[in-house]
Amino acid sequence: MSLDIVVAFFILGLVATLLGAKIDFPKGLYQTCVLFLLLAIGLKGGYALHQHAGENILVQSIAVILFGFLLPFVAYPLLRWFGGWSKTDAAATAAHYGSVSVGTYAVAVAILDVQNIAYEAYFPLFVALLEAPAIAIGIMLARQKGQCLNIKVLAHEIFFNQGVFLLLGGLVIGAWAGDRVQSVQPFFGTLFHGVLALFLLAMGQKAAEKLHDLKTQSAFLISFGIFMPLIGALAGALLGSMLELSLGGVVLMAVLGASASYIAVPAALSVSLPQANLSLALTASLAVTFPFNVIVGIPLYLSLAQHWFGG
Amino acid sequence: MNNKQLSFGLLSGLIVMIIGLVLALDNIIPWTLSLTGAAIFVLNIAVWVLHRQTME
Repeated sequence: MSLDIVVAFFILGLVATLLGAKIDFPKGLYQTCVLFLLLAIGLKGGYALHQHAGENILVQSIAVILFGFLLPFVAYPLLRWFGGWSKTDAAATAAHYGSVSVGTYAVAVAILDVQNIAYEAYFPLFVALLEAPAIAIGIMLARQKGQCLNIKVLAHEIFFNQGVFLLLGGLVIGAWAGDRVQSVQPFFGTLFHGVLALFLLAMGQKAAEKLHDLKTQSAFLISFGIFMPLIGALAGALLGSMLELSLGGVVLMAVLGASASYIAVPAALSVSLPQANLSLALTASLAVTFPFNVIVGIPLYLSLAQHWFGG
Repeated sequence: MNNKQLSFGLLSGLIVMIIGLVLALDNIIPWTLSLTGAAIFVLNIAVWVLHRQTME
């Protein structure tokens, strides 16, 4: 098992920041990378939907949504009982771990592409579907008696945040355009790995900066940030196997189960749960779970899936 | 760091380490998982010791 080249860029960013090397990564460039990856992933999935739209996808989508509702219920008791966290903080962090990270998904796709392992190309649909349920469960778990909730504002944050909106937008355009997607493919397809490498360089820097926030909760956050993705990956792989997905599909479902959100969920929860300490969730997600998944987790899930589901 | 957090850290580290060890011995996965588990275990003990020293 060798380290994928895009992952090496993540390690470069991480090491550079830890050693104090100054890499001036423009904020606008990071944002451009995020937009590019969301649209590229969405378009690819939309094109696949155009070719493979069928009843089977509907059943799989329902199962994936139920999976998204389930994961926070695993994370929440661990944080409440073992961590001794408040109801609000535990619920907010559980929501992060029930949702998904598009960056982690992009790395997994890049690794599968390099190794020529087939997967269901409409997977971006599942990524989009998994963003929202955990936010709703997180808010429900954190809600105090008699506390009112502005559903309109919350729904806007869930469905119109940048991640979900661009991913779904790319999916719709890809499904509608069909073969016409080929005209933008030189940009969104060929440059995908290069832009992902730049994105991971920036993520390495962000993860290293967040390491300073571990402080008093360090041991518990690290333990939880590694143990929880392993539970999520196992549940995701089992779901992928039950849905009779391909080997690559099982790996991607495990990666979605293992990943934790650091863009969409904090944005939604800062509106609906302003009293929650989101830095706990962000630190665990960005400084522990994302690096773990990218460096150790994804190759691990791939090896296990190849052994158990590879036939 | 309270006792429940310590027990979670030790338990999760031990579980990850043992599962990683079994799978690595069967050549299914490399040693990274069991090393990760061992690191979690050691980290929790180290933080707990530091925490106790600070309290004293």
